[in-house]
Amino acid sequence: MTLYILRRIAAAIPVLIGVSLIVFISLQLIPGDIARALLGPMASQDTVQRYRESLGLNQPVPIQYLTWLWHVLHGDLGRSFTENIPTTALLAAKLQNTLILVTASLLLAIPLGVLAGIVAATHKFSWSDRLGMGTTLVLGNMPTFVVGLGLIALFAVQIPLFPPLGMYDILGSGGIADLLRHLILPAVTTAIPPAAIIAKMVRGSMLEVLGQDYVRAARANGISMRTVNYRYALRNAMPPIITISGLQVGFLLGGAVFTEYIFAWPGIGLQLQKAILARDISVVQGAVLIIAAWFMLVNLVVDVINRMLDPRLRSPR
Amino acid sequence: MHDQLAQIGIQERELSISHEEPEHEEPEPSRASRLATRWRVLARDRAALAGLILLAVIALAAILAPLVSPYDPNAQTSAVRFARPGAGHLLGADEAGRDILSRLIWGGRVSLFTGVAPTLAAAVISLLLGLIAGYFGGVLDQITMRTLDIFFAFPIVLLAILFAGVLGAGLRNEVIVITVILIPYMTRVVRTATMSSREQEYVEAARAAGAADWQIVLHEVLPNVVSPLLVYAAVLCGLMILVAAGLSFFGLGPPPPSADWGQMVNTGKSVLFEAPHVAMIPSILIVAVALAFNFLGDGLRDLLDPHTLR
Repeated sequence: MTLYILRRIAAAIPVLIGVSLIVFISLQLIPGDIARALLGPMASQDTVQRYRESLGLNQPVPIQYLTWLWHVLHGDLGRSFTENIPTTALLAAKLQNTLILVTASLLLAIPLGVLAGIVAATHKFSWSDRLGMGTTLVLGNMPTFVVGLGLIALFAVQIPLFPPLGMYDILGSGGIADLLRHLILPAVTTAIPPAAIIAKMVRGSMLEVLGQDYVRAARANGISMRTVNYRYALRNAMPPIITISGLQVGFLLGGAVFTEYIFAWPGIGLQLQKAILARDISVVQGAVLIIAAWFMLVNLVVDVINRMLDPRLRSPR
Repeated sequence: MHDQLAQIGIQERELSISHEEPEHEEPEPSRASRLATRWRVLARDRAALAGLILLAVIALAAILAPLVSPYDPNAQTSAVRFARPGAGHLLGADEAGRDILSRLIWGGRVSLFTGVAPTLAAAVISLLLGLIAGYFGGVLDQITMRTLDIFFAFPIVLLAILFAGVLGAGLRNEVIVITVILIPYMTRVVRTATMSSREQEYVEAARAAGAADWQIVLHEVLPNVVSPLLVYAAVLCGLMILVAAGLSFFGLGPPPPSADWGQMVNTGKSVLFEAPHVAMIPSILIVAVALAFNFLGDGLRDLLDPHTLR
């Protein structure tokens, strides 16, 4: 097992290097002179030149990349010129807010999706199955921003239950109650599309297992439906469910980018949007790197969990 | 739309073509009767047919925009600001008093284009890459796949936002960005189909008959790769309309006044309290179009499966 984990980590390293290369190179593609773009047209040629040197832009590109990578590996992502603080510090604070949002969404999406999927599978072709799967189809195809705006229109405008936005200071004066009040709509928004996809997956996976011979044998032996469904079937339906849930955990961070923008949630996604519009390069690089690294980490953890759960995969090859 | 990509991963697996030989008990049907059968299969699939009709109507309206649009999409009439849907303005008017229906019709040109054109472009490039990597294998395949692995390490929307943010807003850049993010996913599908087709007996037979590699790829492998690619492309079209709308919503789409659907949602966002319909109507259309492409993709998969034609 340890060997497997080590092997997976080793395989992830070249991909991570590739990811850092893409992030770095893509920002070289910005049209025009970055220093000029940052300083504005009023800056003198001399100032621009000095700024270029201070950013290290006069170095050859490979040297620039290696220097940047070296700093990144030491936790230094550069300096945000819009906020004028180190990017690492800026993003660390925002990442914390994003993690609150993502965790809350996850706690909603996975139980909701799994439960809906099991109900649909054990009541195959009943009206609740059809209704559930129809809803799932529509919700699973909704972009996060549509879900978010729909929820605001319903629960902040028509029935003013929740504040539409205004989460500024997570640990501010409002305390936990205030945080929860602001958290509900964004968390539900981020959770709905993944929950729908998990439900669809769970239903398919359960149905496949329920059609197996050993399930029929268990039933023929007089074991109750409940035991068969939850003890036998669910357990064997788990691996694809974990894979898809894991994928959703990674994608949640992508969806959270839109949620944060809609609800003005002060996380890494909102920061990314601001940074892109302001061409705040070090922040864009940092935010993208963090999200991609998180995504890879989740995939790795999911593979490891699946391996631990399946005895056939656990034994040495 | 990020979430739907998880689905794509599954759909990719469902796409793998079956190589079971259909039993040839009956004589080969003529081309005309085969077409007729195909049409019957499609007509029976009500969801796919509904999707096809919806897409056809929207595409036709977008093409004929100057003829069918009831108002000038950019004409501002302050008297009808925030008008609710009703007579005069069928779908109401937005915050600047512009007719929403007309803006949807004209915006359809941009939104459909940014979904369909990149998918076609990416399909062509991926076909080339995937056929070469899958058929010849070896180092070439290794290099291609390892490079693609790097792209799979990003959530697709994040990659789109990164590239669009770097290149700057605009229609041309949006098309480039969406093409680039699609290539890894489509190439993987082509490669998988190519590899499974390469091992089939008919390829061996062609080789024994003295066919050159390029002939085998063109005549034996390609026809088996096109079907799964087509199904995948239909689903991706819908997804890319969502991605394009998302980019526009994020402020990375074509600049105003040429409004696409995502941008209409974004401007509607700021008047959500006064007039929720300004954001909600384009949202509903975006979801409906994405669903329509999805149904069409499912229908195509059944249609292109040789087993349904017997």
